[in-house]
Amino acid sequence: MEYLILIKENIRIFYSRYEGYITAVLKFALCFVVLVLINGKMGYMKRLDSMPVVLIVSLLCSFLPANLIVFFSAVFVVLHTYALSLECAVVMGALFFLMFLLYYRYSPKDTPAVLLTPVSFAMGIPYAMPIVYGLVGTILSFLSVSCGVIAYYMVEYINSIADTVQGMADDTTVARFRFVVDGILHNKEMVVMVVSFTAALVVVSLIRHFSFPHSWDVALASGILVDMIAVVVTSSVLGVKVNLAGLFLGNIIAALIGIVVRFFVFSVDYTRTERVQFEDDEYYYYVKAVPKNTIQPRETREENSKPVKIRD
Amino acid sequence: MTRMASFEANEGKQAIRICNFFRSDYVTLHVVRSAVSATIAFFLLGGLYIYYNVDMLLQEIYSMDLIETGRTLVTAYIIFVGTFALISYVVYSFRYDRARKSLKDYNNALRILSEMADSEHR
Repeated sequence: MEYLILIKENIRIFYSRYEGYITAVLKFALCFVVLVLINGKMGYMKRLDSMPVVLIVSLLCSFLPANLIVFFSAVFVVLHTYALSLECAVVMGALFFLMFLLYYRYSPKDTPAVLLTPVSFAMGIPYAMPIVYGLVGTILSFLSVSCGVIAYYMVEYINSIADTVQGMADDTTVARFRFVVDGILHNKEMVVMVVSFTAALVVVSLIRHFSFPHSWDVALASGILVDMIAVVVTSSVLGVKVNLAGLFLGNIIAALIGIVVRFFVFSVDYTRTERVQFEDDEYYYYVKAVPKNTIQPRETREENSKPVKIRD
Repeated sequence: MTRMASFEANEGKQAIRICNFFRSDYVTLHVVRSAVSATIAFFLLGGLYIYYNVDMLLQEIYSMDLIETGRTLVTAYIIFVGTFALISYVVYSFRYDRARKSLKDYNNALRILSEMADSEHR
């Protein structure tokens, strides 16, 4: 355990020393992965589906605010769908615009969740998202995660109907538009995921704020349970087939990722909990203090223990 | 002191920006912004609905009770915008109170630090 805490401390020190560079690299990597995934899944517009364009946009995003990665990703998706059909592009554009109008006002700092959710689906670990954002985000993070789920299923749906839409050249614009909207509105799997992710994230976020011992572990376990129950219940209500083995395995992986995140974000020693009471001019304070698990790395200890040279 | 410096560099900036407003001004400004966003969203959704049902609407436009339809639309608009305004009111009131409390804690910590510095000088 001490060794793990030491590694964590070293990572923390390394991050705080090179924060600017690491943030830029992470933004570049996130943007690059998302754009490569979009191009890989869609790729209808050949001009966008090229590595130089992806690299230029990713480099641009590495020093621009993180929210612009979402904007550029949305632009990529809309342009690809435009190359496929105007109706698909209108529906996609309208949906992204609605997302920006309605959710962005409340949780602008959670925009990475909108991108990471589709990435987690692509990596086969979607159930990790509500658990991780329940642990590190706010209760309103469910909006961002839900938007990510909707964006992922929209892209998947457009991808699945691409041939059909191209074959509907003789139909009217309204018929094609109606076909696209109907498919999105009747995507029950998307509804199951949005409901279960929201329930799990809200439960994790609520429980982890309690001050009882091991509240973060209880939150994590409750989130996993709620997620599984919500998926089973909503899918049976909506008549969606669910792969129970995949659900179970996915949630086990989500729990493991949650444990790693919890270790990095909230590692405390409950055996050394102290209760203190004090007052100032306006308040009485009843404080429960739980010490963090920390070890000072050797380098820092040696630096601190060096005698200070005093000039004559 | 490290926590104070971190507060100054990060969430402190936003807290100061929020607390430059009176509570009512801050909350009203954001409720109005949300209402404008909700209005644009409502008209966008309305436009999509009309386009989706354009055939049916063109057939029924002459037999439709326009006053009743208008009343339904206005009610739907009020409910839609009202819901977003209410959510904004709750969220931004909470954010203002939290920013104010964090600034108050920061000022208390500054005062304690200043008292410690004074006692060291004496």
